[in-house]
Amino acid sequence: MNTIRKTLAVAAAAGLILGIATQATAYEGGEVKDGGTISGSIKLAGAPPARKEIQVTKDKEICGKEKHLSWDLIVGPNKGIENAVVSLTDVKKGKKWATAKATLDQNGCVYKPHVLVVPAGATVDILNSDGILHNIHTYSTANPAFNKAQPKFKKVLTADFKKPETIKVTCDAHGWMLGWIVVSDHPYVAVTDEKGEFTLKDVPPGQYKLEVWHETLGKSAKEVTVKPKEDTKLHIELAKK
Amino acid sequence: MQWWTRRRARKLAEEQSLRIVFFICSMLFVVVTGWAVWNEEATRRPWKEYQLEFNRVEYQQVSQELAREKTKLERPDVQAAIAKLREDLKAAQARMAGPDYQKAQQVLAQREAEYDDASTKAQFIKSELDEALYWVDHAIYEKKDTQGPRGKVAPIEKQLRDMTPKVDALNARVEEAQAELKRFQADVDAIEAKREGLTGPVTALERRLALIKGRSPEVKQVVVEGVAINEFKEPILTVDRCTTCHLGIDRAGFEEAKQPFRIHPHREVLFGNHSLTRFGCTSCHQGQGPALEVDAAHGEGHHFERPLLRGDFVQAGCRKCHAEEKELPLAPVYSQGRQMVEELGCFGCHNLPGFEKVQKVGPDLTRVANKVDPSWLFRWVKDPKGYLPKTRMPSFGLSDEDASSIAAYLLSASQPMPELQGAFKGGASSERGRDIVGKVGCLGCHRIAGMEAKVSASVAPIVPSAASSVEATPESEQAAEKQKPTRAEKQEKQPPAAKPARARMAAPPPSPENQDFAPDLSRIASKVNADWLFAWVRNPKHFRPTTRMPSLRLSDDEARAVTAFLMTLGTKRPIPRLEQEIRKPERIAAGERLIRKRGCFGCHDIKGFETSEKIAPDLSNFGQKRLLELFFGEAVQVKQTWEDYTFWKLKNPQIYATERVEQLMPNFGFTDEQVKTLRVFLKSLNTQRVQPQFQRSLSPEELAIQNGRTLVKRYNCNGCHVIEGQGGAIAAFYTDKTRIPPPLEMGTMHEGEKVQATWLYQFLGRPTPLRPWLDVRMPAFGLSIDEATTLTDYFAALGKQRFPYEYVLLDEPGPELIRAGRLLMSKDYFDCFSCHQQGDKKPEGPPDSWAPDLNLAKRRLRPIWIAKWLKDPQKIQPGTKMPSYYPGGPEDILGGKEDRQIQAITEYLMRLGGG
Repeated sequence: MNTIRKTLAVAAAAGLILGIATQATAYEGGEVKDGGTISGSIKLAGAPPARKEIQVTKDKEICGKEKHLSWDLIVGPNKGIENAVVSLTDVKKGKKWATAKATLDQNGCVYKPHVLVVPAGATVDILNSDGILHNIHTYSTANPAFNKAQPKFKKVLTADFKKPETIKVTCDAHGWMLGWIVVSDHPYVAVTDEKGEFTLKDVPPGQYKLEVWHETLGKSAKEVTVKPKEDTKLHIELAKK
Repeated sequence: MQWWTRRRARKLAEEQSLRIVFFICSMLFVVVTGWAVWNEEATRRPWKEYQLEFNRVEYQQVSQELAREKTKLERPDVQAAIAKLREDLKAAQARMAGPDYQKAQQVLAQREAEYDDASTKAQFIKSELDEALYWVDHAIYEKKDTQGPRGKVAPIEKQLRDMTPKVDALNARVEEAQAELKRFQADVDAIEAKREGLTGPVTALERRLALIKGRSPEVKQVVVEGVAINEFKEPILTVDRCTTCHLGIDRAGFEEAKQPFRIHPHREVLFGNHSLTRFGCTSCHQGQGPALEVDAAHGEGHHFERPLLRGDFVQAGCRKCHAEEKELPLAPVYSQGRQMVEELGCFGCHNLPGFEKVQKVGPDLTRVANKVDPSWLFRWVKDPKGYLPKTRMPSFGLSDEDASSIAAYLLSASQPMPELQGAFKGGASSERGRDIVGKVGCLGCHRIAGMEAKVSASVAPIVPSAASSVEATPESEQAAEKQKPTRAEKQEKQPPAAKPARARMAAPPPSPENQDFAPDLSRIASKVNADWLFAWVRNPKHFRPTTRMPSLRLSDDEARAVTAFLMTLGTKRPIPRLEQEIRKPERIAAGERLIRKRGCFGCHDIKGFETSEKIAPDLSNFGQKRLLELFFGEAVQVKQTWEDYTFWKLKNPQIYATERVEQLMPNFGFTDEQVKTLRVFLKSLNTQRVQPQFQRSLSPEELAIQNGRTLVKRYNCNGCHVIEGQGGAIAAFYTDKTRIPPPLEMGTMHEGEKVQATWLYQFLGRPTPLRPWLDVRMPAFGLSIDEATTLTDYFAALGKQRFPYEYVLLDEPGPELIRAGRLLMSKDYFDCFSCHQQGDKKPEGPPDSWAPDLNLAKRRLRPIWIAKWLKDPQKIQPGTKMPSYYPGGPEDILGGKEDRQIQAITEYLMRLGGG
């Protein structure tokens, strides 16, 4: 009994400290002088896999208008990986990031964009361009997880994301639908384009840890030094696990 | 002596002086009296020391508290407040002495006088009226003319009618004046009360200090009337003086005090239900109540039969009154011990009160020959743990010869198998069998090496938590997946202690982890015959109606595949010449003798032993056994106490065997911890009885829950479902969390609240597939009417459904509502049938994206639950695929009113599907 109480107390205390710690290390936005740039590309090590076609099994007249290929690993020309998220993990100060609105569209039973980056505290407008029943099922831990229906008559649904986290989004009505919402408390986050390239601008000079995350390839990190008004080039290769 | 005779010779007795003798004697008396007083007061009253010590401790505590209160009082703001109150009080008192008050008094006096006048007048009029009425009556009696007297009545009545409101008005004025006066007094009272509130604690504490100082030591005793009864069933009065030393037992503030002053643990619950004056101390704790010396009071000297129950043993004391209950939240060791006895089947050989109706724990052996390989049987009888390390079957320490004798008898006495419908032919794909075994739910109860959990968490229910684990960095899906197990483990380890202390409804104690519910199948092929296995997995009840193994409704093809797979697990290892050996009649005869001696039939049904009696001693008074009744044999290393005897008896029964005295009890291979748990239960076994009014009997609801839990354990419902927050370990075998069996009792999810009792009863009796996307099947347990009713009651009780009544449509609630419901569920609005089935109408897409048949809702679901579910499905079952539609219903139906829309859907659902 006692040990259980103790562990509970310790857990509670740890939780409290963690909470305080995360608050204490919150990002501070302001003016950036002589900021540098980090740019580069994320590439796949090894042979790029072919994208499989997704079987549309439901609501074919709307979902099946276009052919869908799987998103789990999209490799462009020169083996550049699309939809990888590049971010600085230990940045404490830097440029301001206004809490703006972001939009996630469900169009042709696909989330557009596939990976959405939003500032912490942002409101996301989730659009239903398809005009059929979708539901937004988030798998989050820091933010409250929800599963809301978005029937035909509901064109826009809004959701708040207060805490930084990478959240999986699915639709239980259309099993193939998959999207990601990356909530970040600082603006130094980028999603790679179809060539696998990214740019982080106005980074205050200093040493940082840069993290690359991809939904199927996982995480990897690298140290990076940013010099005033210089472009730091980075080329990272991710391998299949 | 001589000097005395000489003295006597010298003088006559009468003349002798006895002064000195008298003096010495008196002195002796004085000394003895002094000693007696001293001895009585000082040395023979050890409790006095304790009381003085306690007074010192309490005095210190109270003084500290007083000092704290005083400093509080001396704070400038408090002082200022007091000063202000004093001023106010003075002002109020002055007002009471002032002209206003006097004026008010005068007003009152004047009004009272006016009122008195008026009311007297009214009284007189009333008397006159009475007189007039009398004359009317009199005239009637005398049969005279009544007209004259009657004429007098009317004016007087009118007078009185006029007078009454005047009197009332005057009375009201008097009350008003009184209230005015009271207001002065009320001001004073309010201020004084406020001042009391500030200074009160200090004066109360000071008073307490004075009381403590003035205390003189005294024996404190409780006379307990008849918890215990004697041999003639008469109540006995017992005296407990324990509180003479244990002074802080019921006093807040002594949580950390050293013994004997510490407060009773779980005081609120235990003393709340067992008041000290009614139950005393020794009725639970044992010991010698009237004694006032430490050792004697604890009953730990020699030859006292009921010594104090220390440590976990105190839980054994609960049974006396709580025999009917299986799980006592505040006696976890006792409850677990009881559970162990039930699972291990100790009652097969020993007579144990409370287990008279429990079924034998071992499998039926009347058809064993068809089932098992003889060589396997021989090895099993000899060393069960060699085949199944976690088996409950104990080791009897048999020689090769004895083991083969027992095997010989069992095989020869075996009955033929019931006829098979289609034998196992082989040729089926073991790969397919493996797939079926991994999916349909075998792993809810059985373990198979090589078929390990896909998620290492043993339980993965998603519980909504205000978890403060904030991940500052974005997590990859894989990392999150990896983290889950640790979190789930933590949740599992969390005690059910977070529940309210009135924990009668608390979750049942978790069953021992190191024991599998059903046999490990990793080497099943070395044990059983393929034909038997095929018949068994097809329909276990056909082979043995009382088995706990359910039917998974496997088709012949599926059963063949499963058999083919299981027969790849392990190989038979025939022992040379065993077959001939076990056919010898002398072997068979020896086997019968051995079975009779060792009591195998205590746990197994064996042909020829249907009426055999239990072989081992009656344990109904084991907890009270005296040392001289325990046989230690030659085990000099065992300390001569009940506790040590029992420990070693359980740990290694052979320790007490001597050349002449055999020990027949088998070795269960208990760990020390298990032995200690069992020992607490054994300690509780005694024949002491209490008066019927002290027996705690269960309410119908509690009984429903207890009986339900027994069945949930018996059929291992917990293997697949989360019930009362526990179980569901099968989830670990499925990576897709939407494919696991549904939770039944978890957080706000209550099956009894969700489904209708009749439906549940029918479903338990004959399950039908509800969720087409699941591979795992709800098996048919072949429950008896009693069992299915018990489980239905259990879920109803947990769901707090007191009246599990039927839902009958009374009349149409207005076609408008139904129409609205239909419209809301249509494709243009909520599009429910995008996922839900509707009878034969299946939704588009693969079955794993389907949802349950809504045509069943009417018979299956409780309408109140439907409304609750529609409001917020995630709240009832976090992580469910059902999305929430509210808030956010359409504006153009039923005025956009959420409650009306939900009602409409519910009403529509309760009519869907015809019939």
